[in-house]
Amino acid sequence: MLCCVVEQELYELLEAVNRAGSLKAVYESAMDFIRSALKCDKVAILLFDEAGVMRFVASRELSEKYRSGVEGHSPWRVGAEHAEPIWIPDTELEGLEAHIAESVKAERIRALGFIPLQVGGFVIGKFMVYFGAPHEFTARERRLTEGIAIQLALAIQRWQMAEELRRGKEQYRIMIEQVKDYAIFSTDTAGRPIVWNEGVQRILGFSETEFVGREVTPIIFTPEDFAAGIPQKEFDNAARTGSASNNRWMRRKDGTRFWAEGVTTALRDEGARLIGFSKVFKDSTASWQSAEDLKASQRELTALKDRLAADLSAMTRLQNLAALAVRPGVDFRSLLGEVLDAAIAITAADKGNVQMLDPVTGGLRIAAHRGFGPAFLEFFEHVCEQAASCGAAMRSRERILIEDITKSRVFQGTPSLQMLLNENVRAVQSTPLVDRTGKVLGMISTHFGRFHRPSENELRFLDILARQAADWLERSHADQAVRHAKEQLATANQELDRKVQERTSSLNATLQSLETLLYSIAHDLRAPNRAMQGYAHLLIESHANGLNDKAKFFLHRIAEAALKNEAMIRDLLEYGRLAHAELHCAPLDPALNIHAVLQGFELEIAEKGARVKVSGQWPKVSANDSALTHVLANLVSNALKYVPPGVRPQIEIFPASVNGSTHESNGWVRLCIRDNGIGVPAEQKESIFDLFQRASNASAQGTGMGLAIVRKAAERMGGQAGVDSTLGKGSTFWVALKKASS
Amino acid sequence: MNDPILLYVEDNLDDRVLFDHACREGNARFRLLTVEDGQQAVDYLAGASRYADRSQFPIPDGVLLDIKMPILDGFDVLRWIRGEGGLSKLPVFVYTSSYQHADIQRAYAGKATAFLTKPSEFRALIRLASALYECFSSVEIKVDPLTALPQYKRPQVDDF
Repeated sequence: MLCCVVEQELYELLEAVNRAGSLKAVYESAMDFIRSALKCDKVAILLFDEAGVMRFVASRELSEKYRSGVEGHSPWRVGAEHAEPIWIPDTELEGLEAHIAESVKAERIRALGFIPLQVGGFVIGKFMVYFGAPHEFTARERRLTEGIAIQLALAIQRWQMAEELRRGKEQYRIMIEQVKDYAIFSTDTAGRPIVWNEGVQRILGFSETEFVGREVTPIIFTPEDFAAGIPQKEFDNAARTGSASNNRWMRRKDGTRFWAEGVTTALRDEGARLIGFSKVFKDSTASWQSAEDLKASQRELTALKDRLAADLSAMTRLQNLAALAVRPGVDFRSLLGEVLDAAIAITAADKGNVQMLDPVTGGLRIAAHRGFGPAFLEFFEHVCEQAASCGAAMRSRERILIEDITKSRVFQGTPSLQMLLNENVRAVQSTPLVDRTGKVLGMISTHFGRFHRPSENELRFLDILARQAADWLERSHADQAVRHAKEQLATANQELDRKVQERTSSLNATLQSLETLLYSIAHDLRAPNRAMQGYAHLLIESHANGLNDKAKFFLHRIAEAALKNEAMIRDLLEYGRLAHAELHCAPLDPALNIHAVLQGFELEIAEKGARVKVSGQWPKVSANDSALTHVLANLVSNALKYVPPGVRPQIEIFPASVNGSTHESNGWVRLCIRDNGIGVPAEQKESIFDLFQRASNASAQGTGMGLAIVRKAAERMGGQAGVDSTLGKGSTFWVALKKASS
Repeated sequence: MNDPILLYVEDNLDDRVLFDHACREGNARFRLLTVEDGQQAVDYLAGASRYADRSQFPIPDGVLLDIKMPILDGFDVLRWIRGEGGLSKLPVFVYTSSYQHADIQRAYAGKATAFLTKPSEFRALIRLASALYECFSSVEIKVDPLTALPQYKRPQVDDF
């Protein structure tokens, strides 16, 4: 019975709570119900706030003082489970905490009950019932309060959840609407916008009516993307995988483009059925631009780094080349090869060649090459300067750059073009090597397998290289000229030597035959002399009786003339022979030669009553035996001959050392013949040794060749001849000869 | 003692006449036979044709041989004497106006007994004839006859 009554009453509560239009109305109707059902004086509902503090949310008949005095007091902690109501029938009999007891007394409360509000077994709050007089809580009251607690807790929870949902939806709406940096919209499966936000207007420039429900895909995608089917691919991709990247160039309403960054997501209902797509993206043009700028500056940096590296490499090459060029004995051909390698490296070419000016033909000839086939080399060996870049550069004396040989007038319609194309050449540069006077010495050409123009920097290095190479070339030419001149000189010298030898040997042959002729003539000349002399003698000696004195005198004159003639022939032959015949010298004792000579003059010495004295110690000399004898004989003959009339010749033959004390003079000795003859005038001391030169005071006896023979013989033996003389007081003729080395 | 027989081979008439006179003046009592060129000399020594009569053209004791002659010169004759002629012991005096070294060498190389230069002075010729005669009048000719001559009678007689 009791049970039914309670449930009946609770049903009233349930209806009242359900009718409530707000949480506050729930509290009010719940308190009304509790006061009428329990007949209590006061009632209150308290809930844990977010901080876990039990706070009054509604009350009846409670003073503000009491509420603030006991607020926060709770028999259960937040989150406590399976709490039981607490009943206090008489506060006077209960040991309440002092400040609680005081508040309770002041509020004239004698009995009260704590009934927990629980959801899912957890305490979320409580409601309180108060009585002004002690009160025993009946079983019915207890059961009723439990039922109220359950209904009230559920109602509170429902309202709290509804409130949260409402607040959350509102927040979400505000959030979406207020996101302005992102364009956010959802579409149906065909891509027509259904929901949009402010961002769409801000980024794309559309108003709601222009956008929602319209076919915007052809407008917001770029024409090229649209034509390429990119929108459909994006949707398909999102449908397949859930989402797809929306990073691409898109268009605004006014047609301008921006870089979009975002994502396209497939929308599905609870049954996983595709219901549309959402697109979220922002305008990242600025950051894209700065990323692009960054990339560009990175590219620039890389290019700069590459360029610096290339410059460094080029400079290193040039430096190495310069070092190589000044190395002594470097072969110019190999140097040219190095120059070419450097040119190819500097211009980043694929092949190349160096040509040099042929001084004979005036044309260019390939002196070094890299990467060309024999057909090309053969061809350009002959026709280079006719029609090619090198020929053009040669004529202009300036560099020729051809970025595309098929379009260059230099090559158009020439066989060179096909040659170059066969070699896969597409571009070429030719830089002339010009000497300091402006004359072209050669050409450096490099060839590219691509349409290409070397950079200014590369060309600058190429210019330096060309300058260096031209200098080396010039120097090499100068060296060659010097070498050539030297060779010519050597050849000329050899030729001269050969000619001299030829002439000498032919001269010797001529002399030989001349000598033979001379002897032959001499032989023939002497026979008549002998005859004249002989017959004259016979007439005088054997037939003197028939001749008067005058006739005898004439015959004497004939005989004398014949003898003189004979002597002249003899001396002439002698002089000629001494002048060129080889004289073999050997160590001789001059004393022996002197002795023999004096023997020969025995008769003449006796006839003239001459006195001859040989004195001193004779060292051995280096001489030719018969030449020395001849010299001594001539000198003795002269000493006997050239004396004043009536004077007896006095002759002394002695050795003398050569004047001077030097080591060299010690090696010589003079053979001296001193006479008491007529002497030699001082100014004629040299001339008397010449052919046919007599001293002015000498009679015309002799041939006039005696002293010339003496000097010639002395000289041919490596010695000298001379005279010391005082006019009228005699002379000392001498022959200086080398002492024989012992 | 019979006079030594000297065959004088000389194409120059003056030299032949003067040598004959010099021998007389110098008391060189040669039986002097003369031929006028090299061919005649060979014919004579070989006893050929007109010289076959040895009583009239006896083998000489010595030959005075000029060099420069037509047809066969003195060297040809010398070669014949020392070769085909088989007259290796016959004294042969090469006698010429030359004092060329080459001629002297050639003469001695051809085994001439001596090389004599024709004197230009007649008095010297007389002395040469006398000296030559002295050589033959000695019992035997063992010594080089040239050494019997004063080597430097005249300074022009030299041998370089």
